[in-house]
This record gives sequence, structure tokens and C-alpha cells, in this order.
Amino acid sequence: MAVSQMRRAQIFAHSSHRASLIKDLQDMEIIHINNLNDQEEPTIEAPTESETRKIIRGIQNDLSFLQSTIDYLSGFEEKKGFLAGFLGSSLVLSKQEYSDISKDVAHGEWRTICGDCQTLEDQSATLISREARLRSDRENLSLWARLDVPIEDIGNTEKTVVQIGVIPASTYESLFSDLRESEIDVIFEKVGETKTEVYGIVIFLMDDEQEAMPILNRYGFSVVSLPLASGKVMDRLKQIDEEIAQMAIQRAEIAKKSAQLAVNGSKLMAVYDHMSELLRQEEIRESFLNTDHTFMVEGWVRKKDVKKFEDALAKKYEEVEIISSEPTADDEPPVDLEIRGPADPFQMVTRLYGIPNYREIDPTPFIAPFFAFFFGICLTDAGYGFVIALIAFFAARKMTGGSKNLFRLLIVAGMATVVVGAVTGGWFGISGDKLPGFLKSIRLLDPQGSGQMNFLVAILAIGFVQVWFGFFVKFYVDIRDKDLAAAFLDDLPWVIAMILIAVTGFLAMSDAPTSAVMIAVAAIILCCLIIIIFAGRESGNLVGRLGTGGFELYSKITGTFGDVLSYLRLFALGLATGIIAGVVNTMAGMMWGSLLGKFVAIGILIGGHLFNLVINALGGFIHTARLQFVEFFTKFYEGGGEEFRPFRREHTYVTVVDADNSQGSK
Amino acid sequence: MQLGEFLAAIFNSGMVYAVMGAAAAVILSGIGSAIGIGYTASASAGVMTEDPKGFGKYLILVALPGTQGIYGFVAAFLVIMKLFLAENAAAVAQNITTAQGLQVMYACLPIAFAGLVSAIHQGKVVQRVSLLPPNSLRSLEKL
Repeated sequence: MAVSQMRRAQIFAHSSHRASLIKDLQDMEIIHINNLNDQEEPTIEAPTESETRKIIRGIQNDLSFLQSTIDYLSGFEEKKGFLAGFLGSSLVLSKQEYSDISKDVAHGEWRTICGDCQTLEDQSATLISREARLRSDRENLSLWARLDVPIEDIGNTEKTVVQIGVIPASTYESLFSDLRESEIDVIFEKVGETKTEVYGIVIFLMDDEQEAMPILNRYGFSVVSLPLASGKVMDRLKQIDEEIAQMAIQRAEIAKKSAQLAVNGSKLMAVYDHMSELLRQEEIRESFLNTDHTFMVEGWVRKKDVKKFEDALAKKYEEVEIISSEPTADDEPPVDLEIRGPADPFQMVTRLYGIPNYREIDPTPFIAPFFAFFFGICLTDAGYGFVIALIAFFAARKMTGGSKNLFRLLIVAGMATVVVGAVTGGWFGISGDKLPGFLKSIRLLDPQGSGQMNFLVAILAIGFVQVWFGFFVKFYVDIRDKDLAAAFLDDLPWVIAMILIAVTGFLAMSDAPTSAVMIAVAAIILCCLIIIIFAGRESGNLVGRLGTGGFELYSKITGTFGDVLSYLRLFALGLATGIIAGVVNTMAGMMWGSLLGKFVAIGILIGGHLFNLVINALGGFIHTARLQFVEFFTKFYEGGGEEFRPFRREHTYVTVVDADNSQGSK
Repeated sequence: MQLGEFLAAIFNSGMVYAVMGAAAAVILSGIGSAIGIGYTASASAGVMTEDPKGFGKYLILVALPGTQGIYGFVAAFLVIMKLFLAENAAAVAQNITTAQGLQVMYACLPIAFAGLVSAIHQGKVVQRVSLLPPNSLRSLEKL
């Protein structure tokens, strides 16, 4: 339940060990390596450096080649199921299978596959662009389909000009009346027309060209050159259709070949991951400090791993020196959160905000119960809770990595929703008086009916508790950090005052004697005085000190008030879910009747409740997270740590499992 | 004459004003939230093209100006609860005077107008914040 302790580890070794040491460090997955060349001015690269760079660039090129091939082939794989596609399940290989593939990398078989793929991809791209060109030709030519003359026969004769062209339909009529008036002989043979344009052949005497052309141009005539060298338009159109059909066959063939190659997709993925490992090995070299014959690696190791780490290296290498030391006050060691328990999935909420820095506590266990409970209040429906928990349960079993945590979180949150829903009598929005007796009897509060005011007060009380808890954690943190003055003079008075305010509220509402209330109020005032007097203790003069203290008290009061009111969002979201669920039921009820109506009603019920569930679960998640971040974390939490990332194999596609494991599951 | 009586009957009932207040609380603060979220969402969508991993972070940032709308809803709900859902609601609804109705309305106006304006401004501020470098969710403290 805390941030792991870290030790600085420095490894000094002879250059000859470099490659194998890097590989061992990667296999151990224990050390977070610092880049020692970070602050240095860029210098002219030493020859070895540029060598490394060259290797890195080579691997990067190979990786992008692989990547494009994998992407191309993924289009031809068998379709996954909807859920599997959505969850993007990764490829699982045993250690043995994976290392077999890694061995093949050197043979370069993957290059052949990738090369073949690239050829296919290029071919298909050529086909696609040719087909597009043919289609546009066909579109243009189809307007001239009735031109029943071979195209090479259309052209000027000795005495006449023959041109094919197009005139806007709007000026077509007036053009000819104009031509008639000017007494020039122009023949326009209409071939086709659309709503806006008329297509045809224009013929006139060569001697008239000087007069005819300006008139034609004035009316928007423009000469057209057809995408056709010879032959009749009709024949060409038929030919184009044939060519397109031919191309479809060719493309189908390419698709078939690609599908055959797609079988290798998983192999390529493994190769890709192996190459990324190699890339990491090369890249990490740039973090080392080098002399002519030795190099130094510096990094962070979890305290509990130090012994294992030193032993493993000492056993294998004789000329390797390891020095481990405590982090100094100036260090910012990377942060590794070590919760292993029911609060584990809630780490993802903490991560959204930023993981704690090395000297802070991990707030995850503190937010976990509140988060689950608040999420439940946002839905206040046991039915929805069941659905969420059930879906999350099955999804979590299929998942790995970050999304698994989300679903594990939703299992807990879904169960909390069931509890909250049962207490508030929410079961798929069924109205309270129609619930079966048993469910009615476990209902303590009815937010959709007479219990609204109580629901509101309950929410404010819960908010008050979390805000108080935030201040309490601050008190605890200050004690932990040995800042006793802050703990007892700044934090504790307000922690006590808040308890007293709650007590006073209870006393005032019950029949307690006035004297008891007076004592409580007096105690509150005392706490406030302590804050006024001591909060500004760093200030030199008395006025400044009291001023700071007064302001501190003022901002504590208004801040607490505002924070507690902010929890009303839970009230609003909870009610909204119930109201929409009720509306869905009413709508379905109106449809219920004939057989068709029943089908429609069932459709409305499923679709409506699903919509309500998704939209309010999303809203519930966001607003619950916001309450943790803005109202709770601000009391004691800073965050901003750097995540502990041990130097390791990082895989994009492949999950490697221990051979024993995979056999066990078979 | 009949129209006059009708209008008089409506405007002499305090209920009209009270419900107007509740409606104003929801409508105006809701408009504010809508505009505010518009600012934050468009900025976040832009930033996420550069930093797609920050989805969760921006989801929270986008939702921040939604608070005002929720408060407006809560205020309206309190009014509705008092007027329609309480045990003696029928009696309250009949006997509420114009002055009382106006009081309820005035009580609704602060969240209506403050919600409208503050949500828009919060949206603009969060928009700037979401354009800050990564790990900026901690700057929420300053909001």
C-alpha cells in the first residue's frame, strides 16, 4: 500500500561485456535506467556513436517495413468476432515459440514475405488507379455513345472544319438563331445531351472560320478531345467494361494471394516485437557513460530486488562492479505503486491524475471505496449494477493490460451499484410501489418518491465525510513527514472542528440540552481561534500573522462548504438515471398491447435501458473521478511522480507466456 | 374580458413565477454548461490528435463546466420537490401567493445567471489548461 523503496544502482563494466550485459538487464526487467547523457551538450559524435545510430536507423526502417506489411495483411485476416475485434486481443505465444521465431529473424525470411506483400500492395494500387482512370474515361465517353463514327474519321477535310464539342443547353437555341441571321452555314449534329449541356459535332466551311468561331465561342461552345485514339466510342465503352471486369479478377487474385500471406501475420508480429527488443537494446546504449574501455550504467532498482540483482550479475560477470546506494534528498527516484489487493484496479483512477511522487503516499486505497460507492450513487439502480458487473466480469477475463484494470474496477463498482440500488429501491426504473415485497423491504430510502430530501441530505453527509477524510489524511501525511507543527496546528484543529460541526448538527436536531450545543459551539470556536493564531506563524509581524490566519480560516470554511455542495452532482446524476429509466418503462408500457406492440416495447426496453446505462455510467465515471481529483486530492495530494519503467522487453503484438503456464491451461 | 380574467388568474398565482424560476435555473445554467463544454471539448479533441493517450484526462477536463448545469438541475429539483412532491403539495400549490412565488423565482436566479456566466468562463479557462503540456491535470487545483 505504498510507493516502493528505491535504491540507486551503478554498474561499471568492461566494454566487452556491453552487448551481453544489456541483454541480461533486459531479461531481468528490474532496473529503470537513467540517461546519463541527458544534460550534456551535444558534441561531435564519436565514431562508435554514429555506428550505434546507424544500427538504430536500420532497425527502425525494418520496423516500419514490418509495420506497413502487418497493417496491409490485417485487412485480409479472417474476421474476428465483434467483441474480440473491439477488445483487440493480442497474440499469445509460449516462450519456446517466441524464441524459435526470434531465431528465424536472422535468416531474413520475413523480408521475403514483406517484399511479396509490398509487390502485391503495389500491384493492387496500380490496378486501383488504372481502374479509376478507366471509370472516368467511361463516364466521359458515355455521353458520346451515339457518335457512330470512328474517332479518327472526325477531323478537318480539305474545305471544312469538323470539330466535336459541347454547348451549354441554355444558349443552344439562341446560338442557332444567331448563326442563321449571320448567314453562315454551320451544321451542328447533336449526339447527346444532359440537362445542362448539349454534345455534338460542328461542321462549317474553312472560309467561314474567321466569322464562325467567335460566334460559337460567345455562346460557350468548347471543343472536346475525347479520351480515345481510334475506333468507335461504343466499341471503346465495351472494351473498358471488359478491362474493368478483367481487373476485378486480377484484384481478386491479389486478394487471394494476400490472404495466403496473411497466415504469416502472427509470425511477422512476433518478428516485429523481437526487432523492437533489439531496438531498445541499441537505444539504451545511448544512456551509458563510456570511457575507452569501460562503461557505466546508472539506474533505479526496487529495494527488495537489489540483492537478487547484484547476485545475478556477480555470478555471471567477474569484471562487473555494482554500487547501490540510498537516494539522496535531491533525487527524484521513479515511482512503482505496489498495491496488491482489492484496491488494485483503482490505480487507473490515480494514474489519470498522475502517480504520486516518490516521497508521497499512494492515495489509491483511500479513493477506492469512495469511488465505487459514488459510482453506485450515480446510477442508483441495482439492475444496472448487475449488468455492469456481469459484462465487466466476462470482459476482464478476456483482457490483459490497462483495459483489464478498467473492467476489474467496473466489477467492484457494479457490485457497489447493486448495493446502492437495493438500498434506494432502484430495479431497472420500476416504480417503487410495483416492486415485490422483498425488494421493498430492503429499501431504506426512496429517491424517486418521498425520500428525496433524505437522499439529498445523505449525499451531503457522504460528501462531508470524504472532505473530512481528505483533511484527516493530510494530518496523517504531515505526521508521517514529521512536520508536527503543520499537523497539530494547521490540520488537526480543522479535522476536529469538522467533527464538532457534525456533532452540533445532530445535537441541534435531537432534543439535546442547549448547554451541550453551546459546549460544542465553543469548541468549534476554539479550533477556529487556533487556526487564526497559528496558521500565519511564519509571518513576522502580528497583523500579518492574524491576517494570514484569518484568511486561512475563511478559505477553509468556504472551501469545505463549496466542496461538500459539489457532491450534489451525485444526487442529480442518481435521480436523472432513475427518471430516464422510468421514462423508458413508461414508453414501453404505452406500446404494450398487440403482438407487434410487444416486440416494439421489448425493443424500447432493451435499447432504452442500454442507452441510459451507458450514458450514465460514463457520466458517473467522469463525475466520480472529478470528485476524487478536485475535491479530495486537493487536500493532501500532489502527484507528478515519474513512473518506474524497468528496462525490459516491450511487446506491441505478442504476449509471451511461460511454457508451463500455457501447458497447464491446455 | 375573458382573456383578461384568464391572464389575471395565471399571473395572480404564485405558482407561475416559482416554476418560471425553476425553469430558468435549468435552462440558463444548462446553456452555460453547454457552451463551456463546447470550448473544452473542441480544445481537447484538438490536443488528443497529438496525445491520444490522454483520453481519460481530457474526458475529465471536458466535463468540468458541466457542474453548473447539474447545480441548476438540483436547484430546480428542490423547488419542484417543495411545490409538487411534498406531502402537502396540493395545498401548497393552491395557496401560494404571488409574492411567495416571486420569492422562489428570485431564489433560483443566482444559480441561473451565475451558472450561465461561470460555466462559459470556466470552459474558456479549462480550454487553456488542456493546451498546457502533459501532466497538466494537476493544474486542476488552480481552477
